Amino acid sequence: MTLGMKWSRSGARVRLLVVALLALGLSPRVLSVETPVAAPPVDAAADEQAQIRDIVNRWLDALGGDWRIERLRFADYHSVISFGPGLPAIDTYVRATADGAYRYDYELPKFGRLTQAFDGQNAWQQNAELGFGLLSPAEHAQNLGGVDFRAPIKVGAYFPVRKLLPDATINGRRLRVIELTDRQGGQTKWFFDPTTGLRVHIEANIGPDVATVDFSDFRRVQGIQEPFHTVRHFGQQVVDVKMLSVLYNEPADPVLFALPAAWIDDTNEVQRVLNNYLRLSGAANLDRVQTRFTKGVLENAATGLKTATVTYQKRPNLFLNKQEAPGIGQTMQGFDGKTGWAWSELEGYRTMAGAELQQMIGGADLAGPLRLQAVCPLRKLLEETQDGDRRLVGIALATFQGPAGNFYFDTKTFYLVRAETFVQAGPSGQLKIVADFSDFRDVDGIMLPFVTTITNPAMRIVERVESVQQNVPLDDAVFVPRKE
Amino acid sequence: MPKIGALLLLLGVGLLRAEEAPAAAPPPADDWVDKREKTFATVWETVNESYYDATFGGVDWLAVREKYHGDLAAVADNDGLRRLLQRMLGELRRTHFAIMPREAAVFTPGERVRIGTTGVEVAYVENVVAIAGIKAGSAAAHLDLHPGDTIRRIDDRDIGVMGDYLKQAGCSPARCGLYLTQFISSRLRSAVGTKVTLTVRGLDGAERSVELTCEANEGPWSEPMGDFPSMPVECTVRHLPDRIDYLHFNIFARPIMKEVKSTLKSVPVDGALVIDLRGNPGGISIMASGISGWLSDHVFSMGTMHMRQGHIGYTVSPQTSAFLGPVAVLIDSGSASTSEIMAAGLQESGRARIFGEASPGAALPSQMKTLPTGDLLQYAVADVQTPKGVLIEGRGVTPDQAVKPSLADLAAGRDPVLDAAQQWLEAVRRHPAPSPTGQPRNQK
Repeated sequence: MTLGMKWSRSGARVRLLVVALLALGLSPRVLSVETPVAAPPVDAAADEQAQIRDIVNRWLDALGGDWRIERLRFADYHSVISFGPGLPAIDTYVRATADGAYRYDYELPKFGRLTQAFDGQNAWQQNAELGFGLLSPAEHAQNLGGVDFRAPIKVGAYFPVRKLLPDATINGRRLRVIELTDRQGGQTKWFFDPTTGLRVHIEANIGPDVATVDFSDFRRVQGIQEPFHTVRHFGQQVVDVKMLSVLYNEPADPVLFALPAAWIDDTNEVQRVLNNYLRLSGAANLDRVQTRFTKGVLENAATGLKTATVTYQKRPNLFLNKQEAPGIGQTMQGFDGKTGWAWSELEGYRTMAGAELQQMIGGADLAGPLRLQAVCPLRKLLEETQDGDRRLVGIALATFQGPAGNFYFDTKTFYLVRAETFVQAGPSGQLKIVADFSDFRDVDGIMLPFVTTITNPAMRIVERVESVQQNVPLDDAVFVPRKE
Repeated sequence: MPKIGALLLLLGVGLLRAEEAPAAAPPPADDWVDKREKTFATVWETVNESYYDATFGGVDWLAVREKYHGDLAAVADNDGLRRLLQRMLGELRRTHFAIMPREAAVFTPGERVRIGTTGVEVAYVENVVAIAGIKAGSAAAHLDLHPGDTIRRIDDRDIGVMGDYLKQAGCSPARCGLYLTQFISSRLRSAVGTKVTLTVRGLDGAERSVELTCEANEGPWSEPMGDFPSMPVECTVRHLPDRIDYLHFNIFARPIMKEVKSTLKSVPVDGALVIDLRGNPGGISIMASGISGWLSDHVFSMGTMHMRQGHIGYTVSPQTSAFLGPVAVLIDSGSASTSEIMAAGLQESGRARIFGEASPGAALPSQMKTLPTGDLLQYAVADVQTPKGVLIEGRGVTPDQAVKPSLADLAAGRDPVLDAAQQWLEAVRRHPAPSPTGQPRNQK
């Protein structure tokens, strides 16, 4: 599901969940008369395709018949998605129409209902607390695929190339296997139970890993077989979906799918501010930056402690920061593309994990501003405020995990001048801070703040950048963890 | 902002300091009235903005301001201002809120004459402050002072009267011990050349007065950290019988780290370790978890400091070649702040057994700031809870095995706390408790 995809922050997982969603609704059907795109002109190939047709047609019959699927106009699904021990299960309601309109309602454990919907024109999402936003084309496509309950009669178009593979045995069951190739070249293996004719297993190679989906607990709903239990595996992640109810052809009010009119203006304004920020701050030029070397001084104004700091960055997200403070000695933090690490004279060496690692990777991303909207899909427009002699427009940005913070932009320059957010402080610390950015200077067409002031009731830290060099040669060895 | 995150971790200095103003404070300058007002405002506002508890523990901090600001106009000099500000900070009834005279602080090598040494070490024993030891080679070594002597007066201050006052104020015995030993120690660390008169009573009941002269601290000093001044640093390593290594340091500061690491790396795999935190008032608080990383093969939490808007954990990260054998930690009423954080964390995690007397419960991570008068304001910005949620401030650490030395022990050169720790270390190695994996931890 799109939601699960964003939580995973992994493109690979995205694909797994798309595959899985094909099973949450209905199962694609390969029409019996479709011709493979590149069928070899030999009898063996014709026989292979005939066998595939038999398998698929049998599956289609087991589902309830293509004529039933063709009559479907609306679908309502209610399921519970579990992400593993210790993680809260999520109640999910999905409504969809045969015209392609849809609405997913996820009950987030902390922030309540998250709606993702498409009314035929706008694909949008909203949570009362976290904000709203438009879905990206990729997100929309995934959602759309997930509720394409008529997919079985379109499968020929989805998978132009089909191949019969040798039978496989899974959990003691011998299964018929076909390999399907979509128009983008993506391959999926489907496994059918020869006893029932139903598809019970899917495999897809995603990067170096194999994603699998298992279907069970088939029940007939209004004449159509639905898997009421789906388990998806990818790497260490296991997603368990239990269907609670399915209802077909219960007409849905179009209002359910429509973007609320009250949000249109705010959505447009948020988009305008973010677009202007990217354009005027020269963020587009970040694409040309391969490395960055920054020298500066950090001063904790509350204690008078001054720390010399140097930072090395290299695309995509290699990072090293060294600090040298009197009385404390040297501290380093880095990310070498695999490991987030920290070392200090006083604390020794450690690796990072969880939110701290995510913060490290996010902060290490040279093109971070370009990804702001993708990383924070939910937004709220805040009231414009006067700040000295300038006016600020604020946008509250959020991920599905929660608020990322309030970000304020100068209405004249559209530079990001303030962020009210949280920072991870060590493996298990979090501080609420206000970061003020000032003294913007043009560095290779990018406006960078040369002064950043971090404020928290316990401290006030000012970072003054002394020099920035971009596209200087940096060896990957610079970022390797230091253990001594 | 990963680079900011690193600096945030260094905000807590858990050190309890008590410095007395030198006898001759500089006279007020012409801009005294303005400076007095600004200093008062800085102290009040700093606490107002940074105090870790937005409710100030029930104290009406605004009313406190009005109360003491009313007296400000009558304050004629810096000594008076220090007393007024200290009384105001005292309304919070928390440790780590103090005004440090700039004249007593050391920021440059040239200023090291401001903190001398007499060679006399004191401890709170049998509810009195007594001489615990006299450094060999110090001037005091040749005087009529002996371990076990009870300190009755230091110069014109009657220690008995001070103790009674503290008890009447509701201080616990550990807190009484902390305050009294810190007061006497600060006098015994007066500027080089200062003469200090100690009136002591020997075990025979006879009183005598001895004049001491503060000498220069010739050993290593810590570097100043911003507004946090430099201090003398001592680290003692001894190899006791039966492969037991003993480690003592007087403060958690950077210079001791090298020696600590070296010691922890060199303890025999089948050996044992004593970490003596008695009389250690604290220091850089993350060193508690840093040192503990050399005692662990797994990640664990020693506690969390809670600030007004956020929290930072004392997370122990295991270090290569960590010592995994049995560890005993010694504490007393002089083990404050970072010492308590470390002792509590090691105790609660089961990594060490604690011996000695209860610590004073003075464990608030703090910072120092220079005031307009030049004096230093120490102010707490966080509270510390153990992983089980126990507040250390006001409670302290209760030893697993209480051992109370006597004056006679001091006089005889016995250390029953260390003896008890050694006995336990020997016993536990003879009969190790089964580990969850079935493998002795120190064999990994």
